[in-house]
Amino acid sequence: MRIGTAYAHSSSSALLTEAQSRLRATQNELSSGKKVSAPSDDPVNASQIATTRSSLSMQTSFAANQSFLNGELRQLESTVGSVGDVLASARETLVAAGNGSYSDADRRSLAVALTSQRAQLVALGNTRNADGQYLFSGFQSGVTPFFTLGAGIAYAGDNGTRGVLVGPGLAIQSNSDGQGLFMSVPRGNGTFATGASAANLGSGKIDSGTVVNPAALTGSGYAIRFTSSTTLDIVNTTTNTVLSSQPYVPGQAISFDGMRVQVSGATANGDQFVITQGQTSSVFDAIDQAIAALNTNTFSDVDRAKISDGIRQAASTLEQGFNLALAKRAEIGGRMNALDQATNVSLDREFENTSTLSRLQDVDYTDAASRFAAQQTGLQAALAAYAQTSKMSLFDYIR
Amino acid sequence: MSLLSVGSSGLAAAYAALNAASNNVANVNTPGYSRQAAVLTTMPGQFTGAGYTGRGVAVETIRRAFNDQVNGQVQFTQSQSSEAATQSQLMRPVDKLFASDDLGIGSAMDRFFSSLTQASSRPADMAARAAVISSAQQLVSRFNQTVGQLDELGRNADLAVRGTAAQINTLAQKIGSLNEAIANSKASGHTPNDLMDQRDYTIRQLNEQVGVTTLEQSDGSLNIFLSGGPALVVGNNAASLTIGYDPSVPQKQVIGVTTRNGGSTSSVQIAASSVNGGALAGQLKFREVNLVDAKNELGRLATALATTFNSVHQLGTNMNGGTGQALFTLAPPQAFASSLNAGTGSISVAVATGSALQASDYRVDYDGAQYSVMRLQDGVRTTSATLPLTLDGLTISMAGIPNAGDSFQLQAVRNGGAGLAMALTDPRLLSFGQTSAAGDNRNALALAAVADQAALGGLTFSQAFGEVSAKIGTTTNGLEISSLVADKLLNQALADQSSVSGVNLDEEAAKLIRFQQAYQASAKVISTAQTIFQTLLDLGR
Repeated sequence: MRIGTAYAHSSSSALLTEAQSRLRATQNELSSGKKVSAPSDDPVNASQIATTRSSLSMQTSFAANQSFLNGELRQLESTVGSVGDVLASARETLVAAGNGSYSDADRRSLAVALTSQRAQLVALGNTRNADGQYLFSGFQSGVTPFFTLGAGIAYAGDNGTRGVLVGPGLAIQSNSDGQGLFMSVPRGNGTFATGASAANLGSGKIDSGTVVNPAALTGSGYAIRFTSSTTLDIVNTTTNTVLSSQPYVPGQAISFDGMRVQVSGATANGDQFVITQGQTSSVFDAIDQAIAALNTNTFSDVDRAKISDGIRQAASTLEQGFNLALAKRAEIGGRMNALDQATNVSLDREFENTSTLSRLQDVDYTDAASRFAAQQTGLQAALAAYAQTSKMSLFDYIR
Repeated sequence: MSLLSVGSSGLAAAYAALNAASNNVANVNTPGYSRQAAVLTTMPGQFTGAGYTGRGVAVETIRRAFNDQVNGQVQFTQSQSSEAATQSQLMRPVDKLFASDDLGIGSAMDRFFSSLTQASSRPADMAARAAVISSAQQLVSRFNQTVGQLDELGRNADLAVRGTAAQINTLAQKIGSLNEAIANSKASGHTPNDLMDQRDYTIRQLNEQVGVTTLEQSDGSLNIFLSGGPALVVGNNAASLTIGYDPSVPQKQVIGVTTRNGGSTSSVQIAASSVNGGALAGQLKFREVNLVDAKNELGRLATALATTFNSVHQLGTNMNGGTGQALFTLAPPQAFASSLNAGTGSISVAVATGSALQASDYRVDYDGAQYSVMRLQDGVRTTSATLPLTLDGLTISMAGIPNAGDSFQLQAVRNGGAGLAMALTDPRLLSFGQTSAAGDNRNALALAAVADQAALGGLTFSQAFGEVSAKIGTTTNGLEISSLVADKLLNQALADQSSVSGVNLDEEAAKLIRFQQAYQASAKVISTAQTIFQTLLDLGR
């Protein structure tokens, strides 16, 4: 094939330019550390690069949320723990008040202790987080949840639960509402509550009772009505039917509809003990009831029986509150576990995404460096060959 | 006597050959030059009693080394290579705009989603709310700026088209004049090699600008046609390319070919899609296809993003207790009636479902009974006897009465990226709750969840951006590969051409030696003739 001299020169120099531009591209890869800088560099993986980057970016915001939630849950857990502690010590105070040798003055000093424990509970209920938001107001996190209304404490929050996103589509609740923890504690033994009627003339007492057959429970209200000092009727006050009439033996268990209670002491004709199911009370009301009972002066066994019944009722409500706080604390612990898991999953995904992105985008230095060396050698050889061949001309030999 | 004339014919032939070789050496670097050689023939012998006696040599003509097929290959590959190189070069900055780096739309979108996710956990925190507003603002600016950069590229392409058209006009004029000169010279019976070279080279330059085909006339002139289109040069009459506007779409430039015939001129418009080859085709395809696609893709993304977030945001309640407002505002979709329409029909288009949008313009034709809606990106047609029609997430409506043959253009999402704006900037107005309670984050969670939802053609927004990025990358990469291939083919054709027509200096050096020797030998013949004649003269002394 004939070679045109001008074309030979221009095509050689074009080849040199091409070799130089390849070398320069490799050099760019080596200095930037990236093999993909525009979608056209790797169109097959362009979409995956975009979505992986996006997951990584979401991962950082999930990590921020995880650390925020971790702080929230820790504070919530310790606050709920403190609430349980205060409730437990208030209950102990009440147990102490049951001591029959206490004078009215002794009981008044216990009432003072209870008043301060009540104030502690209100303060704990109004705890705020680092952002100044109340822990126990539900969605109303800017509103002080517990405030004095008349003689009692009212709740201004709601039962809204705030989820915090800690993973794709995964929200973990960050708050607990004050309603469930403070305001609707089941009364009595957790299933039913017992109480003496305020009009009782005798000094008879009822205990808190127990459930003997959960299947037989009806949910109705009941009354034990004394038809004389030695006989009583068991009445379902919801259906207004007399279940049975029986003699009164002090201290003997009375069983009906799955429940068992014990009445003791001297009762009078017309005395009545009331049994209710499904009623709730606030812990503040329970403490207020106990404070009122402790502040009552006693003149007779009948007075003492009434005080003791009030204290017993308050103590069982506080015990239920304490159980509730324990359960809530365990539930928050469960959320913290879920958060730990979500954090681990997040870290795994982050690692996975980072390595995917690096595989797709980053230069393999060994490969790039050896490519650079090969291209450099190629360019040197091409330059030498061009310099040599371009020197050769027949004109040099014509003399 | 014949010895002298044979010798001098040899001298003349050797001189002509030497002259051709020298001319070749002189033009070794002249673009478009084909090497020339003297074509020598033996003079017919003279009949004598002893048979035919040679009478020497004659120079028949000077011929250029030229091959029509190779030349045709060069012309064609030149136009292809030039088109591919132009389009791929124009596409490169577009490709960069869709890169997945910290400055891209993808990253801005990710930051917006992240800020929502973080703000959802502390709905009362003003700093977190402000971060949402600022990241949304940045996302809006990224959309606006990217479209602004695309528009800038479009304006540059417009200028480039004008420049190319001007060059084409100059080259067409030049070819017309060369045609005339060649037709005049051919009458002499010899081919005007240098004019032919010049014309071939000018046609190659023209092919660099726009693909043309040629048709040789009996007088030696070449008629030039735009590939598959109207004539650009007929004999010595050159038409000119002009830039006009499309009557059916406002602001859309179109190319026309204006022919002068005597005192009158006539003009025809040529569709951008029918221009093939050369820089012009590359520029037009970039402007009419790639750029429009890129803007429509961005517009589709922006429109779907804005409508999706607005609809979720409007379900919530802001900190002031008000119902959620729109978070973003959008440019209304555009619809035009062709200026050639005879009826009173006025078309309008609105977004009905953001997630069903397609990245395309539409053309609506009315034939008197049916509306035919064509999606311009892929040519899919939908027909309907009545409007309104819901198609691809759009509702197309008609007011007034169109005539048969009227046409309309819809640019539903084209301005989505440019027209995207923030509708609210007060962090208190972000609707994070279903109530105005400070700690109510239910709507914020719903907003954050949008990032994980199938929001656009079954994809999340991040995936949809990834898809667009991959599409642009594939197009750019494809153009780069076609450009490389076309360049290789051009190089092959040029190598072939150089092998036929190119000057090789070594070859010319050899020819110089060869014809110098022939010249010296012929001179020796003359000197011998002189000696013989002298011998004769000496006899008679």
